[in-house]
Order: sequence, then structure tokens, then C-alpha cells
Amino acid sequence: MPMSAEAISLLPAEVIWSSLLMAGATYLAIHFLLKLVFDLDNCRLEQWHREEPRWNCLRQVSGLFKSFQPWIVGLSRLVDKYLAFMMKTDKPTSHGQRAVQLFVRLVFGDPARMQSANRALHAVEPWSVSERLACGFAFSTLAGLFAVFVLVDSTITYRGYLLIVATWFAAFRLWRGAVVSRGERRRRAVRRFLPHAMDCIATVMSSGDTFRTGIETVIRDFPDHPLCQDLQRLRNELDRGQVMATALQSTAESIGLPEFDEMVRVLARIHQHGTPASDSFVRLAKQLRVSHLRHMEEEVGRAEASMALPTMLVMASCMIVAAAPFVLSIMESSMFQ
Amino acid sequence: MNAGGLLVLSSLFYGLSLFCSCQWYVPWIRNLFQKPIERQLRRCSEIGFDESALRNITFAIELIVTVGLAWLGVNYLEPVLTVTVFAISLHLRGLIFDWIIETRERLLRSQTLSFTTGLMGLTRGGLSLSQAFDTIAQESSLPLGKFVKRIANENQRGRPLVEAIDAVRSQLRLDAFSLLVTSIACALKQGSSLEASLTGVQESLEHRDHAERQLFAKTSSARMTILILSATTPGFFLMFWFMMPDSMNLIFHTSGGKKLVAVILLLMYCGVAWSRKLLNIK
Repeated sequence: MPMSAEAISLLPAEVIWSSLLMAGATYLAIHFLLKLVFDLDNCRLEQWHREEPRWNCLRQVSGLFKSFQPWIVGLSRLVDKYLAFMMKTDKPTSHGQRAVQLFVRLVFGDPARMQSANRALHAVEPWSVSERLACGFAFSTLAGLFAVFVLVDSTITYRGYLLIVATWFAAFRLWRGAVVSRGERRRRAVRRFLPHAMDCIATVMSSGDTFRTGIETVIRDFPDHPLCQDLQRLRNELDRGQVMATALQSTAESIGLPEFDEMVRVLARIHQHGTPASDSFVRLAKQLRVSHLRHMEEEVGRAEASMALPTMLVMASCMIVAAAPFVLSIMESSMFQ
Repeated sequence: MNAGGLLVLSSLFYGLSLFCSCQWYVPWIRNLFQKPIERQLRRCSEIGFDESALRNITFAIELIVTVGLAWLGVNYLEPVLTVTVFAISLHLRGLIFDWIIETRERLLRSQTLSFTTGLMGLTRGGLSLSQAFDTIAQESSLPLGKFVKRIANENQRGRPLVEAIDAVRSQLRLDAFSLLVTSIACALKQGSSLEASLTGVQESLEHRDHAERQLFAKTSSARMTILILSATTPGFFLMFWFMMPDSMNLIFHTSGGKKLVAVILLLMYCGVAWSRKLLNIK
């Protein structure tokens, strides 16, 4: 039976106050327990809080962050540990291990996809994927409890427990999907833009200018594009006096695309062997365009296969229009009155 | 004052108050309506559409749709159905603007290729860059022609050519045009061969144009299927209306029928939006 406002008003005031106090005490207990378990002292938390480049965004949500600080830090470390564990143990030896891995994979998702999303987002967004997943973990638990206590039933039965788990699972899956697809969208945008960026750099270099001017031209033309954000970081690192090879290597790691890695390799070859830069870049741009065309063809093939579902939706609307008059006249006839 | 005079005076005051409220509230309502598509409207103006005309036409259509829906909602439809239709119409407006922008950008990209080819031919023939721009400005067609004419006019009035084309580049924000401008600017700055630079750009643009056309051709069958199916639903509706008007009237006069209309609209909308998302390959 749903717990209505009327039902709450019938409860004695002492019960309501004691439940609120109990909730507060439980929160504090879990708070300190997590601090103890994860060995988090205030100084380290503050350091984590101030870590660059998270600072600006975390300042905006400081109140929320401070209330849940040990939760977020603890859970995100757990997620990190899970990712490291899953990436290490690719092939389970026993059936039990396989079952556990399958279950964990079902809840937390494919670790490779999560790591690739982490790489794509970590450098440009204040929250890493594991921190976002930790927040999702906490919020989906709250959603599960809310669904049972407020929307469905005030008393816990076996159905209540099942509902908590189901709601938690659904909420967490949705949250995880949103986080991972955010990273994948960014990677896709970078992949699509890379041939144009390479064309620009090749054009600049073939007219006799430097690689750095090429990067600056791309940044000036499309400053808001995700790839240009990465290139801006590369330029800033070069401005700070970082060696080109190291700066490029770290940018390539954060972008995580084989096409960009190829560009880094070409630059390394130019520096090592003195091969003509403009020719190499023109060739690379051409190669990237061909590879982009291949990717595009692959995407078209996949889209054509997936078009069956939306087509079915539109066809269903046609069928409802065709069937509606007959169904409605039967329902309105005396047989159903 | 007699009754006739009072009537005239009160009508005048009514008219005046209506005028004042329109003056004060119409911009506010307009902003409220057009805030969700502000980015698209700005983009439309950047790629050569008349922004004020576009805003006026959009506002007029929005007013007609809103008033029509309000009237239908009061007289025929249920509140849930009215809100559903209103939400779908608002989102459809965004989709239509996206389609307009995509089509125009595709046309501009294709025209940039022919513009580059023309420019390359003329510079190879011995004309200076300014002369080549003047010649192409007279021949090129809209919408890119408008921008080329602007560059040529500004150059004739004494603005440096690189500055004039850079202004157009920052307005258009189009990858193909940016590449062309980059090649011209770099060749002029470094004193390298403009012809060689333009040849490289033309090759790249040709490749992109080929890929874009190939993509369009490959996805056109799926797009056409969705288009035909979405047109079939209202077609079926009209056909049944003519064949058995009494049965079809039940749809709008019973609560079950109104719910079915909401379901039909939602299904169609989801199908079209989903297919658009799948086919939006760049």
C-alpha cells in the first residue's frame, strides 16, 4: 500500500523524530566507517579535492561534495580497483571465477569501454569516470530506497527487497550508460574531425610553416571542438617548455586513437631521420581520409541493419491507424456496454 | 457625451491598450518561444539566411500552431494529448531547422569545391588572386556567391584580401572553406606556390565531396523508407476517413480513441527521431 501523506500524519511525532535521528546517526556511522576503511585523513581529502583540473567544477558543487566526500572517494577507488582487476584477469580459470566475472561485468559493464571513456574524458572534465560511477552508485541506491519506501510500500517484504535491487540495477545501468556514451561521443567527434585537422596541418606545413602553426590554425578555426581542446592542452604544455615528443605522447595517450598515434610516429620519424615533413604529412592526411571513408562505410552498414527497429515503430503506428476504427466500433457496440 | 461617443472612445482605448500590450509582451513571448532554437537561428544567419525574416516566419507559424492546438485542446482533445502534440511540434521545429542547416552546409561545401577549382584554374592561367576573386564573384551562384562577392567588393574598397576572406571564414565556420582560407593565407604569408597549395586543397575537398555523396546515396534508401512510412500513416487516416467517417469520428470523440492518437503520434515521432539519429553519420 502506498505511503500517503495521510498515513504519515497518523504516525506519532516521536516515531518520526526518532527515525530522522536514526537516519542521521546511520549516515554519520557510515561516513566514519568509510573514512576508517579507506584510510582517508582530512589532509588527503583536501588534496584530492584541490587536485587539478577538478578544482573549478568541484568548487561549484562543494556543498554536495563535502557531504558525500568519503563516499565518492571510497567508491571511486573501488571502481578503479575493479577496473584494474578486470583488465588484469582477462581469462578466468574456474567456472566460479567466470560466473563472478560475468556478474560483475553485468553490473559494472565492459571494463575496456569504461577505461576508454575514462581516457577520453579525464583530461577535459573535472570528474573522472570512476568518480561519476561512484556518484551513480550512491544515487541509484537512494533511488531504489525511494521507490520502495515512498512510491510502493512502507513495509519491507521480499517484494520490496526485489524492487530495491531492480530499481538500483536499472538506475545504475542508465547512469553507467550515460557516462560511457559521453566518452564515446567525444572520441567519435575527435575521430571524425581528425582528417580535417590533419589536412589543415599538412597544408600549413607544405607551404613552409611549422607544425606548431598548423596546430594553432586548427585551434583558431574551431576552438570549441573536442580535438581542439586536446590540441590546446598540447600547445599549453609546449608553452610551458615541455619537449615536443613527451607532450605529443601524453596527448596521444589521452586521445587514445590509433590515427593520432600514427601522427605522433610520423613526427618522431621526421625528428629522428630528417624525412621531408610536408610530404609525410600530406601522405598521412590522405591515409587518414581513406581510413575515415572505411569507418564511414562500416557505420553505414551498421546503421542500415539497425534501421529495422525504427521502421517497425512507424509501421506499428500505420497498423494502429488501420485497426483503430474497427476496434473502437467493437468496443463502443452494445456487446461491451 | 452621448452613447455613440462613449463607444468610439472606449474602442479607441481598447485599441490603444491592445497596441501597448503587444508592444510590451510580444517581444517577451517571442523570446520565450525562440530561446530553444536561438543557436540554430544564429547559425542560419551565419550561413546566409535572412535572420529577421526567418524569426518572423517562425514566430508566425508558432503562434498559429499554439493557438490552433489551444483551440483543439479546449474543444476536442484531452489535455495529455494536447501537451504531447505541443511538445512534439516544438521538437519537430528544432529538427526542421537542423535539416535546413545541414542542407545549406552541404551545398556550401559542394560550392566551395567548384570555387576552389575555378580559383586554381584562373591562378594557373596567370591572373592575380584579386583578379581571380573578381572573376569568380561575377560567375558564382548563391549562396556562396554572396560571400565571394562580399570578399571581392571589400578587396576593391581597399581591405586586404586575406583579411576579407578571414572575416568570411570566421562567419561561415565551415571546414571546407576554412581549409581553403588556410591554404591561401599560408601561401601568401610564406610566399610559397599558391597553385600547389590550391591543388592539395582541391584534392582533399574532392575526396570529401565524394565521401559525402557516397554516404548520402547509401543512406537514401533507408531515409526514403522512413519518409514513405511516415507519410502512409496520415494517408491511411485520410483514406479511412473518406471510407467510413462514422468509425473514424470515434477516434476523436472517445477517450480510448484520443489515447490511441497520442500513441500513434508518439510511435511515429520516436521512429523518425531514432532513424534520424542512426542515419546522422558524418
